[in-house]
Amino acid sequence: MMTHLQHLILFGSVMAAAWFLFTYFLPRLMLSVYKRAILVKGFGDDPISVNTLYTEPQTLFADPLRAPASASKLATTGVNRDTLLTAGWLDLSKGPQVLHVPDMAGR
Amino acid sequence: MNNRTSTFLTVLIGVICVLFFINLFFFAPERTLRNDVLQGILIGTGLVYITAQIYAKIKATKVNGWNTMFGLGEPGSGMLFKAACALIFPGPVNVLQEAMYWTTSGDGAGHALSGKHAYLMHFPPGGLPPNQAFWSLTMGDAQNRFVANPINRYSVSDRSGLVPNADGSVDIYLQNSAPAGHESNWLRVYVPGTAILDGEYKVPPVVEVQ
Repeated sequence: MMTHLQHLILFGSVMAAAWFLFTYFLPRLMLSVYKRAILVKGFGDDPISVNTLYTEPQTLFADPLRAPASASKLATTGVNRDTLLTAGWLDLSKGPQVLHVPDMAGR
Repeated sequence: MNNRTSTFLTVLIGVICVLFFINLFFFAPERTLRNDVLQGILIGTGLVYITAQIYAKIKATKVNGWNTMFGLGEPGSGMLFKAACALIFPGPVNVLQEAMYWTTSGDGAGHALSGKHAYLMHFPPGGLPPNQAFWSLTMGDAQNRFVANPINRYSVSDRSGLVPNADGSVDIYLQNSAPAGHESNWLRVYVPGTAILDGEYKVPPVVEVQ
Protein backbone atom coordinates (compact mmCIF):
# COMPACT_ATOMS: atom_id res chain seq x y z
CA MET A 1 0.00 0.00 0.00
CA MET A 2 1.17 3.52 -0.79
CA THR A 3 1.29 6.14 1.92
CA HIS A 4 -0.50 9.46 1.48
CA LEU A 5 2.83 11.19 0.85
CA GLN A 6 3.73 8.71 -1.89
CA HIS A 7 0.36 9.38 -3.51
CA LEU A 8 1.03 13.12 -3.37
CA ILE A 9 4.48 12.68 -4.88
CA LEU A 10 3.07 10.58 -7.73
CA PHE A 11 0.30 13.12 -8.32
CA GLY A 12 2.83 15.96 -8.28
CA SER A 13 5.15 14.22 -10.74
CA VAL A 14 2.34 13.46 -13.19
CA MET A 15 1.14 17.07 -12.90
CA ALA A 16 4.60 18.50 -13.56
CA ALA A 17 5.14 16.16 -16.52
CA ALA A 18 1.73 17.03 -18.00
CA TRP A 19 2.42 20.75 -17.56
CA PHE A 20 5.81 20.46 -19.27
CA LEU A 21 4.56 18.32 -22.17
CA PHE A 22 1.48 20.47 -22.91
CA THR A 23 3.41 23.74 -22.65
CA TYR A 24 6.12 22.39 -24.96
CA PHE A 25 3.69 21.03 -27.56
CA LEU A 26 1.08 23.83 -27.36
CA PRO A 27 2.42 25.80 -30.40
CA ARG A 28 2.52 22.58 -32.40
CA LEU A 29 -1.03 21.69 -31.36
CA MET A 30 -2.26 25.12 -32.47
CA LEU A 31 -0.39 24.87 -35.78
CA SER A 32 -1.88 21.42 -36.43
CA VAL A 33 -5.27 23.15 -36.59
CA TYR A 34 -3.93 25.18 -39.53
CA LYS A 35 -2.35 22.09 -41.08
CA ARG A 36 -5.72 20.36 -40.97
CA ALA A 37 -7.48 23.41 -42.41
CA ILE A 38 -5.06 23.48 -45.35
CA LEU A 39 -4.75 19.76 -46.10
CA VAL A 40 -8.28 18.59 -45.22
CA LYS A 41 -10.67 21.51 -45.83
CA GLY A 42 -9.02 24.17 -47.97
CA PHE A 43 -10.09 27.78 -48.32
CA GLY A 44 -13.01 27.65 -50.72
CA ASP A 45 -12.24 25.10 -53.39
CA ASP A 46 -10.83 21.69 -52.59
CA PRO A 47 -8.31 20.67 -49.93
CA ILE A 48 -4.87 22.06 -50.75
CA SER A 49 -2.52 19.15 -51.32
CA VAL A 50 0.91 19.14 -49.73
CA ASN A 51 3.63 21.26 -51.42
CA THR A 52 0.98 23.29 -53.27
CA LEU A 53 0.33 26.98 -52.82
CA TYR A 54 -3.25 28.22 -53.00
CA THR A 55 -4.35 31.85 -53.15
CA GLU A 56 -7.72 32.69 -51.65
CA PRO A 57 -10.43 33.58 -54.20
CA GLN A 58 -10.81 37.27 -55.09
CA THR A 59 -14.50 36.97 -54.18
CA LEU A 60 -13.65 35.89 -50.64
CA PHE A 61 -11.20 38.77 -50.27
CA ALA A 62 -13.79 41.22 -51.63
CA ASP A 63 -16.56 39.94 -49.37
CA PRO A 64 -15.00 38.50 -46.20
CA LEU A 65 -18.39 37.99 -44.55
CA ARG A 66 -19.48 35.21 -46.87
CA ALA A 67 -16.95 32.41 -47.15
CA PRO A 68 -17.76 29.43 -49.40
CA ALA A 69 -19.54 26.72 -47.42
CA SER A 70 -16.78 24.21 -48.11
CA ALA A 71 -14.05 26.50 -46.78
CA SER A 72 -12.39 26.00 -43.43
CA LYS A 73 -13.66 28.33 -40.70
CA LEU A 74 -10.12 29.68 -40.53
CA ALA A 75 -10.72 31.38 -43.90
CA THR A 76 -12.74 34.04 -42.10
CA THR A 77 -11.09 33.91 -38.68
CA GLY A 78 -9.22 37.06 -37.77
CA VAL A 79 -9.84 40.44 -39.30
CA ASN A 80 -7.59 41.12 -42.28
CA ARG A 81 -8.60 43.38 -45.14
CA ASP A 82 -5.12 44.14 -46.39
CA THR A 83 -3.29 41.08 -47.62
CA LEU A 84 -4.53 38.50 -50.10
CA LEU A 85 -3.66 35.22 -48.46
CA THR A 86 -1.72 32.42 -50.09
CA ALA A 87 -1.53 29.25 -48.04
CA GLY A 88 0.15 25.89 -48.36
CA TRP A 89 1.72 23.15 -46.27
CA LEU A 90 5.26 22.27 -47.31
CA ASP A 91 6.92 18.91 -46.70
CA LEU A 92 10.66 19.51 -46.82
CA SER A 93 11.62 16.09 -45.46
CA LYS A 94 12.13 14.69 -48.97
CA GLY A 95 14.18 17.64 -50.20
CA PRO A 96 14.00 21.39 -50.61
CA GLN A 97 11.24 23.20 -52.50
CA VAL A 98 11.88 26.18 -54.76
CA LEU A 99 9.52 29.15 -54.49
CA HIS A 100 9.33 31.02 -57.78
CA VAL A 101 7.97 34.52 -57.36
CA PRO A 102 6.68 36.07 -60.60
CA ASP A 103 7.39 39.69 -61.53
CA MET A 104 5.02 41.63 -59.25
CA ALA A 105 5.58 44.91 -61.11
CA GLY A 106 6.98 46.65 -58.05
CA ARG A 107 4.27 45.53 -55.62
CA MET B 1 -10.08 34.85 -28.22
CA ASN B 2 -11.36 38.02 -26.68
CA ASN B 3 -9.65 39.53 -23.65
CA ARG B 4 -12.61 39.12 -21.33
CA THR B 5 -13.22 35.47 -22.20
CA SER B 6 -9.57 34.58 -21.64
CA THR B 7 -9.48 36.41 -18.30
CA PHE B 8 -12.68 34.63 -17.25
CA LEU B 9 -11.25 31.23 -18.28
CA THR B 10 -7.96 31.93 -16.48
CA VAL B 11 -9.77 32.87 -13.25
CA LEU B 12 -12.16 29.90 -13.52
CA ILE B 13 -9.38 27.34 -14.04
CA GLY B 14 -7.34 29.07 -11.31
CA VAL B 15 -10.17 28.79 -8.78
CA ILE B 16 -10.70 25.11 -9.65
CA CYS B 17 -6.98 24.40 -9.16
CA VAL B 18 -6.83 26.29 -5.83
CA LEU B 19 -9.92 24.48 -4.49
CA PHE B 20 -8.40 21.20 -5.59
CA PHE B 21 -5.10 21.92 -3.80
CA ILE B 22 -6.89 23.05 -0.60
CA ASN B 23 -8.85 19.80 -0.62
CA LEU B 24 -5.68 17.81 -1.32
CA PHE B 25 -3.53 19.25 1.47
CA PHE B 26 -5.99 20.19 4.22
CA PHE B 27 -8.64 17.51 3.95
CA ALA B 28 -6.38 14.68 2.70
CA PRO B 29 -9.01 12.58 0.92
CA GLU B 30 -8.51 8.85 0.32
CA ARG B 31 -6.33 8.51 -2.77
CA THR B 32 -5.96 5.82 -5.41
CA LEU B 33 -3.32 5.35 -8.07
CA ARG B 34 -5.92 6.14 -10.74
CA ASN B 35 -6.77 9.43 -9.01
CA ASP B 36 -3.11 10.44 -8.86
CA VAL B 37 -2.56 9.98 -12.59
CA LEU B 38 -5.88 11.38 -13.87
CA GLN B 39 -5.89 14.39 -11.56
CA GLY B 40 -2.22 15.01 -12.31
CA ILE B 41 -2.93 15.20 -16.04
CA LEU B 42 -6.04 17.39 -15.59
CA ILE B 43 -4.54 19.86 -13.13
CA GLY B 44 -1.24 19.94 -15.08
CA THR B 45 -3.14 20.80 -18.29
CA GLY B 46 -5.19 23.47 -16.51
CA LEU B 47 -2.00 25.04 -15.17
CA VAL B 48 -0.59 25.21 -18.74
CA TYR B 49 -3.41 27.56 -19.71
CA ILE B 50 -2.98 29.70 -16.59
CA THR B 51 0.81 29.98 -16.78
CA ALA B 52 0.74 30.77 -20.52
CA GLN B 53 -1.94 33.46 -20.05
CA ILE B 54 -0.16 35.06 -17.09
CA TYR B 55 3.19 34.94 -18.91
CA ALA B 56 1.55 36.53 -21.98
CA LYS B 57 0.17 39.33 -19.77
CA ILE B 58 3.64 39.91 -18.30
CA LYS B 59 5.41 39.88 -21.66
CA ALA B 60 2.81 41.97 -23.54
CA THR B 61 3.66 45.61 -24.15
CA LYS B 62 0.74 47.89 -23.33
CA VAL B 63 0.55 51.36 -24.88
CA ASN B 64 -2.53 53.55 -24.38
CA GLY B 65 -4.71 50.45 -23.99
CA TRP B 66 -3.22 48.69 -27.05
CA ASN B 67 -1.44 45.35 -26.63
CA THR B 68 1.43 43.96 -28.62
CA MET B 69 4.13 41.31 -28.19
CA PHE B 70 7.77 41.96 -29.03
CA GLY B 71 9.64 38.81 -30.05
CA LEU B 72 6.72 37.15 -31.82
CA GLY B 73 7.80 34.36 -34.16
CA GLU B 74 11.45 34.54 -33.16
CA PRO B 75 13.25 31.25 -32.53
CA GLY B 76 14.99 30.56 -29.23
CA SER B 77 12.52 32.63 -27.20
CA GLY B 78 11.80 29.87 -24.72
CA MET B 79 9.11 27.27 -24.23
CA LEU B 80 6.82 29.41 -22.06
CA PHE B 81 7.03 32.42 -24.38
CA LYS B 82 6.20 30.26 -27.40
CA ALA B 83 3.20 28.79 -25.57
CA ALA B 84 2.04 32.31 -24.64
CA CYS B 85 2.39 33.47 -28.27
CA ALA B 86 0.47 30.40 -29.49
CA LEU B 87 -2.46 31.36 -27.26
CA ILE B 88 -2.46 35.09 -28.04
CA PHE B 89 -1.56 34.94 -31.75
CA PRO B 90 -2.42 31.38 -32.87
CA GLY B 91 -1.19 30.04 -36.19
CA PRO B 92 1.56 31.36 -38.44
CA VAL B 93 2.74 34.88 -37.59
CA ASN B 94 5.17 37.34 -39.06
CA VAL B 95 8.34 38.40 -37.30
CA LEU B 96 8.51 41.94 -35.98
CA GLN B 97 10.48 43.36 -38.93
CA GLU B 98 7.79 42.06 -41.28
CA ALA B 99 4.65 43.13 -39.44
CA MET B 100 3.63 44.68 -36.15
CA TYR B 101 0.20 44.08 -34.65
CA TRP B 102 -1.57 45.95 -31.87
CA THR B 103 -4.94 44.83 -30.56
CA THR B 104 -7.35 46.34 -28.09
CA SER B 105 -10.78 45.56 -26.75
CA GLY B 106 -10.82 48.64 -24.52
CA ASP B 107 -10.52 52.39 -24.85
CA GLY B 108 -7.67 54.50 -23.47
CA ALA B 109 -9.53 54.87 -20.13
CA GLY B 110 -9.72 51.09 -19.75
CA HIS B 111 -13.43 50.67 -20.50
CA ALA B 112 -14.51 47.83 -22.80
CA LEU B 113 -15.25 48.94 -26.36
CA SER B 114 -18.92 48.82 -27.24
CA GLY B 115 -20.95 49.60 -30.34
CA LYS B 116 -23.20 51.73 -28.14
CA HIS B 117 -20.53 54.43 -27.97
CA ALA B 118 -18.71 56.46 -30.59
CA TYR B 119 -14.92 56.58 -30.47
CA LEU B 120 -12.15 58.70 -31.87
CA MET B 121 -8.49 57.99 -32.58
CA HIS B 122 -6.43 61.14 -32.91
CA PHE B 123 -3.06 60.83 -34.63
CA PRO B 124 -0.95 63.95 -34.05
CA PRO B 125 0.73 65.64 -37.07
CA GLY B 126 3.20 63.14 -38.56
CA GLY B 127 2.00 60.58 -36.03
CA LEU B 128 0.61 57.93 -38.36
CA PRO B 129 2.51 54.64 -37.95
CA PRO B 130 5.88 54.86 -39.75
CA ASN B 131 6.34 52.05 -42.30
CA GLN B 132 7.81 51.00 -45.64
CA ALA B 133 4.69 49.05 -46.71
CA PHE B 134 1.31 49.96 -45.21
CA TRP B 135 -0.71 50.39 -42.05
CA SER B 136 -4.34 49.64 -41.36
CA LEU B 137 -6.88 49.80 -38.57
CA THR B 138 -9.43 46.98 -38.66
CA MET B 139 -12.49 46.41 -36.53
CA GLY B 140 -13.89 43.07 -35.45
CA ASP B 141 -16.54 41.86 -33.05
CA ALA B 142 -15.77 40.17 -29.73
CA GLN B 143 -15.04 36.91 -31.61
CA ASN B 144 -12.59 38.75 -33.87
CA ARG B 145 -14.80 38.52 -36.95
CA PHE B 146 -15.85 41.23 -39.35
CA VAL B 147 -19.03 43.15 -38.60
CA ALA B 148 -21.53 43.58 -41.45
CA ASN B 149 -22.32 47.22 -42.12
CA PRO B 150 -24.25 49.13 -44.80
CA ILE B 151 -21.20 50.90 -46.24
CA ASN B 152 -19.01 47.73 -46.37
CA ARG B 153 -16.22 49.41 -44.45
CA TYR B 154 -14.17 46.90 -42.51
CA SER B 155 -10.94 48.82 -42.13
CA VAL B 156 -9.35 52.23 -42.43
CA SER B 157 -5.85 52.42 -43.81
CA ASP B 158 -3.25 54.45 -45.67
CA ARG B 159 -5.29 53.66 -48.82
CA SER B 160 -8.52 55.15 -47.45
CA GLY B 161 -7.82 58.70 -48.61
CA LEU B 162 -7.97 60.12 -45.08
CA VAL B 163 -8.29 63.89 -45.00
CA PRO B 164 -5.97 65.43 -42.40
CA ASN B 165 -7.05 68.30 -40.16
CA ALA B 166 -5.69 71.81 -40.76
CA ASP B 167 -2.72 71.17 -38.41
CA GLY B 168 -1.79 67.93 -40.19
CA SER B 169 -3.23 65.62 -37.53
CA VAL B 170 -5.61 62.82 -38.48
CA ASP B 171 -8.83 61.84 -36.70
CA ILE B 172 -10.40 58.43 -37.23
CA TYR B 173 -13.96 57.97 -36.02
CA LEU B 174 -15.10 54.54 -34.87
CA GLN B 175 -18.83 54.49 -34.47
CA ASN B 176 -21.98 52.60 -35.22
CA SER B 177 -25.40 54.17 -35.68
CA ALA B 178 -27.10 50.99 -34.49
CA PRO B 179 -26.05 49.43 -31.16
CA ALA B 180 -23.79 46.42 -31.54
CA GLY B 181 -22.05 44.09 -29.14
CA HIS B 182 -18.50 44.33 -27.87
CA GLU B 183 -15.76 45.14 -30.30
CA SER B 184 -12.06 44.71 -30.74
CA ASN B 185 -9.67 46.69 -32.92
CA TRP B 186 -6.53 45.65 -34.73
CA LEU B 187 -3.83 48.00 -35.85
CA ARG B 188 -1.33 46.40 -38.17
CA VAL B 189 1.78 47.85 -39.73
CA TYR B 190 3.67 45.92 -42.39
CA VAL B 191 7.42 46.46 -42.68
CA PRO B 192 7.31 48.81 -39.69
CA GLY B 193 9.75 51.71 -39.33
CA THR B 194 12.57 51.81 -36.76
CA ALA B 195 10.57 53.97 -34.33
CA ILE B 196 8.12 51.07 -34.03
CA LEU B 197 10.81 48.41 -33.77
CA ASP B 198 12.57 50.43 -31.04
CA GLY B 199 9.31 50.73 -29.13
CA GLU B 200 9.46 54.54 -29.38
CA TYR B 201 6.29 54.87 -31.42
CA LYS B 202 3.22 55.24 -29.21
CA VAL B 203 -0.14 54.24 -30.63
CA PRO B 204 -2.72 56.88 -29.69
CA PRO B 205 -5.57 55.73 -27.43
CA VAL B 206 -9.11 55.03 -28.57
CA VAL B 207 -11.10 57.80 -26.89
CA GLU B 208 -14.81 57.64 -26.20
CA VAL B 209 -16.70 60.60 -27.69
CA GLN B 210 -19.22 62.07 -25.26
